[in-house]
Amino acid sequence: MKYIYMSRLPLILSLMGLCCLGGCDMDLEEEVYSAETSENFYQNEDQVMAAYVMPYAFMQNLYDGGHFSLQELSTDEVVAPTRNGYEDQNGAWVRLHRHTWTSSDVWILYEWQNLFQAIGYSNYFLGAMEEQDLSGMDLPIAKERMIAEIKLVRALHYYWALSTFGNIPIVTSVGESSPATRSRQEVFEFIEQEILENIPQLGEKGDANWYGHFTKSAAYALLAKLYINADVFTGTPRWEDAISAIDNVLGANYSLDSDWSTPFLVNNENSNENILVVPFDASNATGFNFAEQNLHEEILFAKYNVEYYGWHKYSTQESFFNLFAENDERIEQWVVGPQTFINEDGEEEPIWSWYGYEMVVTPQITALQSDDTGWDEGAMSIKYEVEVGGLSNMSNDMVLFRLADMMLLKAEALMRLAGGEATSEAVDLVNQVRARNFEADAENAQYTTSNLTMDELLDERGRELAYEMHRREDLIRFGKFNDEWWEKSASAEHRQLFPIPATVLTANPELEQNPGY
Amino acid sequence: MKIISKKIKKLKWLFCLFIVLVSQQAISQQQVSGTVSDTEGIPIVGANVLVEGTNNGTMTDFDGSFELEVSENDAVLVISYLGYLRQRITVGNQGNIDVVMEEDVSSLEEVVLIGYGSQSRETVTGAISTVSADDFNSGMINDPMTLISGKVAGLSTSNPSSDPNATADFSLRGPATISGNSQPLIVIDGVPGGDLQTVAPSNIASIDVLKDASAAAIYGSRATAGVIIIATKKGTPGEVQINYNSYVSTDVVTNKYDVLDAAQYRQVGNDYGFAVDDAGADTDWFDEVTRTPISHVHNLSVSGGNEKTTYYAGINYRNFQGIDLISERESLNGTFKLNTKALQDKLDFSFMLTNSHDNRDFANYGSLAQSLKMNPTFPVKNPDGSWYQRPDIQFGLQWNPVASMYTTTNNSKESRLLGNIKVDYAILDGLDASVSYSLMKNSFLGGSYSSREDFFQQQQGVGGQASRSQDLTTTNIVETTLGYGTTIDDDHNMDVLAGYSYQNTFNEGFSAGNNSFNTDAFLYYNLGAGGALNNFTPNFNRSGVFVGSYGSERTLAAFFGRIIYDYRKKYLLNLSIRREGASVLGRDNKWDTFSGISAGWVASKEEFLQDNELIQYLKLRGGYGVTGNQESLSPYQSLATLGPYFGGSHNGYLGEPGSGSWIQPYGPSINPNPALQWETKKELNIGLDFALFQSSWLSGSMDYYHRKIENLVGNYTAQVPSLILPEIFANAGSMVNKGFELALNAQLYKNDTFRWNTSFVAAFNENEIVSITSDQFKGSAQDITRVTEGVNIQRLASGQPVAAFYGRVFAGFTEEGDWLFQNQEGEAVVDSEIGEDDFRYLGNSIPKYSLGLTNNFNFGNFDATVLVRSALAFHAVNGKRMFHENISYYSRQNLFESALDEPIQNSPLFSSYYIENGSYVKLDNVTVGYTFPMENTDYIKSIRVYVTGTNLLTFTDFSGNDPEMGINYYPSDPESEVSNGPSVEPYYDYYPRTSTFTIGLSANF
Repeated sequence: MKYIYMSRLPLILSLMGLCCLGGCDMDLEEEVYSAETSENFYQNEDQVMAAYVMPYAFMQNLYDGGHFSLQELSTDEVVAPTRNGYEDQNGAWVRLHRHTWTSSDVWILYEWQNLFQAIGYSNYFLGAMEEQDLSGMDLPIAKERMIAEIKLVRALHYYWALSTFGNIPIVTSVGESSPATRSRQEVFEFIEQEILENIPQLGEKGDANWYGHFTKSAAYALLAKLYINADVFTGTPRWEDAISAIDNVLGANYSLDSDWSTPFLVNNENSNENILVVPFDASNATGFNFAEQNLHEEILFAKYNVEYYGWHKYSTQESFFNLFAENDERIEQWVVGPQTFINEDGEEEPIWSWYGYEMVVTPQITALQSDDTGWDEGAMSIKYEVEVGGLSNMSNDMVLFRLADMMLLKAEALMRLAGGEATSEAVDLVNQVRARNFEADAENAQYTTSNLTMDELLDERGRELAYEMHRREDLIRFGKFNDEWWEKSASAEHRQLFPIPATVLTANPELEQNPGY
Repeated sequence: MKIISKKIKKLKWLFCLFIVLVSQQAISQQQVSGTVSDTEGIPIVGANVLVEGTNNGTMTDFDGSFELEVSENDAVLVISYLGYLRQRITVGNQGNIDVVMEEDVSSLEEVVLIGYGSQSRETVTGAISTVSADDFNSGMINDPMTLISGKVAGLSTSNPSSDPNATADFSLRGPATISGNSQPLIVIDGVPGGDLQTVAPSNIASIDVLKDASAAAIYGSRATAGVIIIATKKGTPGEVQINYNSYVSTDVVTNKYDVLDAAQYRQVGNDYGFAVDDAGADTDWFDEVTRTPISHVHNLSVSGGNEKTTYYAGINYRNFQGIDLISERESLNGTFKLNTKALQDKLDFSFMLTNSHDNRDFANYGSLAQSLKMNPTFPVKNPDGSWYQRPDIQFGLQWNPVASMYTTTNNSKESRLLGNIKVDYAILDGLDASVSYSLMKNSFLGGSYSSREDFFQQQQGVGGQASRSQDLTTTNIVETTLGYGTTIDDDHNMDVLAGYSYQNTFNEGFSAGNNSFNTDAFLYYNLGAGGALNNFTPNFNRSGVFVGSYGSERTLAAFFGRIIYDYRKKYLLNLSIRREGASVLGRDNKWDTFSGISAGWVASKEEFLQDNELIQYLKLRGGYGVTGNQESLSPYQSLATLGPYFGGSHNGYLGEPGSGSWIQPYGPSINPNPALQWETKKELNIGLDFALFQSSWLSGSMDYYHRKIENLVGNYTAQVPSLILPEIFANAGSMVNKGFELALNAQLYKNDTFRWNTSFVAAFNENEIVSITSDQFKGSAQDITRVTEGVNIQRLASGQPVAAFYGRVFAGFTEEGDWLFQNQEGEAVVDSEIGEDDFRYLGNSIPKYSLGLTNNFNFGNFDATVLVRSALAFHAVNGKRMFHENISYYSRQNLFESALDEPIQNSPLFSSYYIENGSYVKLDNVTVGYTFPMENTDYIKSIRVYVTGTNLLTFTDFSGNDPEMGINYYPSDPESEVSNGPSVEPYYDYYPRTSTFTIGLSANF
C-alpha cells in the first residue's frame, strides 16, 4: 500500500500544482482598462487642463437640469401648463407654479444634486491641486489662477444653493462624511470670503483664455448678487457693499450693446455686456435646447427650417406678457399672434396648427391644466436667437451675469438706501438700460424720479431679464414671491426656500429640514 | 384512489407469479444466467447484478443478458438499475432468471447532481429537484429553461414574449437581489457560470436545481439565487445510437387588441367633437405588421462506445421566425463529447466541446406598439407604391410602422463556445484527483442600419445611419478536486472532497457609427462611406457618428471542501464550505467564507416503520447555509476611477471669444466605494421526502424555507455632499423571502395498455424588503419603473415586496369626468389637491403562488401530456390602457374599443384605477404522440410522431397582452424615459404573445 502511495505522489503534487495555473495573484487586485485611476492622473498638461475644465463643463447642465425650472417656474414669469391633457412629469410643473411642491419632488432633488455635483467636481480638482506639483508643466493658465477660478465656480454654486435651499452644509473636500447643516449666515460668510480672497488671482476680460471663465468682473458680479440679497439671506442689508462691488464691474471693460438682443444671439460671444456665460455649442457643448423647450414644432419647421420637434413646454404667463408695452422692442422676444412663414416662392403663408386651422398664438392660456386646449396658447420665448437650420442643441452661450443686470441692481441699491425713492443716479442707470428699446421720442422710453417706483423697478427687471433665471430672487427681494397670481393663491412665507429633498435628508441625518416643510 | 391502488397491488402479485412460473430446476455451485428487461420487454444494458453480501457481481451486456456463478442455492441476487426499483431474487434452483424491472416512480434511486459530484436521491439532505429529458416539455423550445417550466416547485419561469430572440425570465424562491441578477447560477457539465444559450435544448439530458443555501453553498459566492445544473447527453456503451428529431412550428396570436377600425374611428371623432384626420382607408395595422411564421428544427445525434470509450456527437439546427414581419433566429449548434479510460482504467479522461452560432434579426418592438397607435383611416402605402407617411402630425407621432420594419435593420451574429477537458485519476481505491480546464468564449457582432427612407432619418435629416458593435467575453476556468470515498464497518459511508477553483473573465468590445450615406446599398458594411464622419460644417447633424471601445476584467478564486456522511443511509449529514475571493470587491473585503450544513433522518429505515404498508419511504431533512451573490457586483466599483465626461458632447471652453478650443473634461466617473462587500444570504430549509403506498405510487416532497439576504448591493442615493455623483454602488439593507414548496408525483393508474402519471408542483413565496439602510448608507424608497417620462409606478421600499406598485388611490370621477383620488384623510379630491404624501402602495407585482400540473398518459402506442401552469396573487399594470383608453388621446393615436366603455377624457394619470389582478391559469402545453411499432425493421429502432400546442388557453382577468410577464426587476439606465418592472406591460413596447403549434418526429436508428 505504502509503495503505491509513494509512486503516485509526484502525480498528486503535479495535479495540485495546477492549482496555481494563473491563479497565484491571491490579492485579486483589479486592473483597469477603460478608465484612469486618480493615482496615475495629472501627469501632463493635457490631463491637468482636462481636470480643470470639468467643473465648468458640468455647468452645461444648468438649463436642462432643475435650475431653470426652480428659478423660473416658481414665479409669475414662466409656466409649463398641462396642454391638451398632456401632463409632463407627474404634475411637477403645476406644483411649482402653485407653490405646492413637497420634499419628494424630483426636480428639487435634481437641483440639489446638480449644485452639489458641481461643488464636488470643484472640490475634487482643488484637492488634487493641493497634492500635485505642476511646476515643470507649461500650462496655458497659471495654477494659482486655475485654483482661484474653480473656487469661484464653487462659490457660485454655493450662492445658488444658499439662495435655493437656505441652510446647507459647507463642504470643501470629497469624502467628508455626514456634513452638518450650517446657518445661512455662515454660508454667506464663507461665500463672501472665498470671493474676496480669490479675486486677486483671477484674470480679467481680455486676458488669455478668459471667455466663459471666472474673471475679476465675474467675481464682483457674483459678490454684488450676494450683497444685494444679503438682507434676504442673513437679515442684514449690505446695499453699500453691493454698490461698490458693482462699481468694480462698471469700471471694467463692458458696455451695453446697442440692441437688447445682442447678448442672446447665436454668436453672442461678441456681446460687450455679457460678464459670465456658459459657452454652448451644437456639437462640442450640448444641452442648451432653449428653442426646443419653448417653441411649437410647426413654427420651428416652417419658420426656422429645423429638423427637430419643438415641445412648446414653456410659455410666459399672460400677466407677465402684458408688462411689455407695444413700442418696447423687447416685446419681439415673444411669439404671439397669427403665425406665418415665407414659402419657397417668397410668399407669406400661414402656419397650420395640428388641428387643421391657421395657427394664432394667444398670450392668454385657458387654464393651467387643460384637457382640450393649450397647444397654441401662451407667448413663446425666442429671447435666445433661433438659428435657421440649427439643431436642438443651440450654439448661443447661456448668459449668467451681464452688465444690464448690474446696472439695474445698482439702481435698486441706491433706491433702497433712499428709502425706496428713486434718485437721479438710479433713474439714469435704469434709463440707460431701457432707452435702447424705444424710439428716441417715445414718451415711455425714460423714467423720472417720480415714476420709477420700486414696483416699477421690479417690472423693468422682469422685462429686461426675462428667462435669465433671476426672477425668483427678485420676487423674494421685492416681497412679492408669496403673492397670488394666475392659478396660484397666496403661499406661505416658508416657500421662499425649497425643502431639502427627502432622500438627501435620509442619506445624511446631520442635515436639518427647512422650517415649514 | 383506493381502487387504483388495489389494481396496482394486483399487478404486483401477477408479476411475482410470473417470476415463479419462469423459474427452473437448479443445482448447487451453479451457473446462473438470464436477461434483464423493462416492462416493455426492451433489454436493459448495464444493469447491476450482485450476489447479496458478496463482491460477486456482473453487469448485463448489450442484450440485457448476464451470467454469474453462485456457490449456494440460497444466494440472493440483487438487480439494480438507475430509475428502476431494485429487485431481490432468491436463486434457489433456477439456472435461468429473466428479470423484468419496474420503473421506480418515486425516483429514489435517481442520481442527483450536487455540484462537483453526485449523490443518490435517497441520501440527499438539501432541497434539490431533478428533471430528466423524459419529463421535459416538448414543442417549440427556444430557451432551455422552458423545458422545465412548471416542473420544479419554487422555480418560476416566464416566457415574456413569443419573440424568437427573447429568453425566458426565471427566478428561484423569489427575488435574490435588488440590483439586477436574480437568476440562478448556471452550471453546464460541471462548468460554472455558463450561458444557457450555449447548449441546444435537445442535447440536454437532465436539469438539477439546487434550491436551498445548504445545497448551493458549494458554489459559494454565486449561489444566492440558487444553482441550475445542466447535464448534456453523453454516449453509452453499446451499439451506435443514431437519433434524428425534427419539428415544424407555427404561431397564432392569442390575444389581439381591439383597436378602433376606420368606421369606429370616424364615429368616435364625430361623437366627441374631434377633427377626424381621415385619409379614407380602412387599415388593420396589426395585421400589416404580423405574419404567419414557420419555424423548424432539426437535430441529429450519434453516440455509442464500449466499456473504455464513449462518445456523443450532435448537430442541431434551429430556425425560428417571429410573428412580426422581420424577426428571426437561425441557430446552429455542434457538440462533441468523448469519455475514455486509460492506465488500467484508473485515468478517466473527458472532453467536451460545444459551439452555438446564432444569426438574429431583431424584432422592432416600437413598431409593433406603433401598429396599435396608427390612425386606421391611413393607408400603408400611397397609390404610387411609396410609404404613406405623415410628418405633419404633432411630434411625428403617426409614423408608419410597416415602413419602419422595412427601413430599419437590426441584427447580430453571435457565437458561444464552451470547451472542457477533465482528467480524473484514481490514485487509490476511493481516492480520486481531478483537474479540469474550461474555456467559454461568447462573441457578439451587431449591426444596425436605418435607411435614408426611414421616417425619422428624413425628419432629422440624418440621411441613413449605420452602426456596428462587437463584444467578446472570454472566461478561463481551472478547477482541481481531490475526493475520497469510503465505507467503514459497512455502516459509515463517507465522501470527502477538497478543491480549488480559479476563474477569470475578460470582457471587451468596440462600436462605431456614422450617418449621411448617399445610398442604402451598404447597410452597415461600409461605415466609412457615411458623409457625417468628416463633415464639420456647423449645424450639420452628426448624431450618428460615434466610436467607442472598452475592456474589463473580473477574477474569482476559491478553496472549497465537502463532507457527505451517512450511517446506514439512515442518518445523513452534509457539510460544505467555500472560501472565496473576488476582484470586484473592496480591497479589505475581497475574501469571505460561505458554508452549508444539512442533515437528514430516513425515518422509514427505523424498525417501527420497516413494515409499514403506507409509508415506503420517509425522510426528514433540514439545512442552513450562507451564500453570496457575486453577479450583483460590477467591476471597478470600489476604485477611484477617472474618465472623460460625457463622451465629447460636454466639453470645456478654453480661449478668447470665438477663437478658443474645446477640451474634453476628465472627472471622477463614480463615487468609489472601497468598503464594498458581498451580498450574503442566510437560509434555513426544512423538508420532507416521502414515498407512499405499495410500489410507492405516490411520492413527493415538501419544503419550508426562510432566506434573509443581507448587505443588499445596489445603486443607492449617495450622501451628496460630500460625495460627487448622485448614486453610489453600495451595500445597504436586507430582504427576506420565505415560502413553502410542495411536489407530488403519482402513478394514478396503470395496466397493460394504459398508464396515467401526474405530477404537481406548488410554491408560495413571500418577499419583503426589510430595510434599505445600513450603517454606511441611509437609504429611502427608490422609484424604479416608469411608464412614461416622469411617471413612476413601482418602488423599492422597506416593508414592501420588490417592485411594489405605488401611486394615487382612485376614488371615482367628478360629474365633469375628472379624476378623483383619495387624499391622506380618505377624502375624494381632484388631482391638483393630491401630493406625493397621498400616494399609497398598491400591491405586489411578483406572483406569490406558482403552480404546475403535468399529466402523462400512455395508451398503447399513444402518449399524451397536458401541462397546466398558474401564477396567482399578484398585480399587473397594462401601460397601454393609460393612453389607449383615454379619449383625449384621440388626436395622437388610435384607441382601444374598451375606451368607449368608461370614457376617460382627462390627463393620463397613473393610479390604482390601472392596477389589475394578474393571476392566471394557463393550459400551457398539450402533446399527443404516437410511437410506431418497429419490430420488423432492422434499421429503425423506433419512430415517434407528435403534435404539441403551447400557450393554448389563458384564464385571467388581466386586460393586457399576456399576464405572464417579467418576474424580475432589472435596473435600467436612470436617464432613460421609461423602464419596465415585473408585471408591467409597457406602453411603448409590444410583442404579441402567441400560441404555438408543432408537429414533430423523432427516430432512433
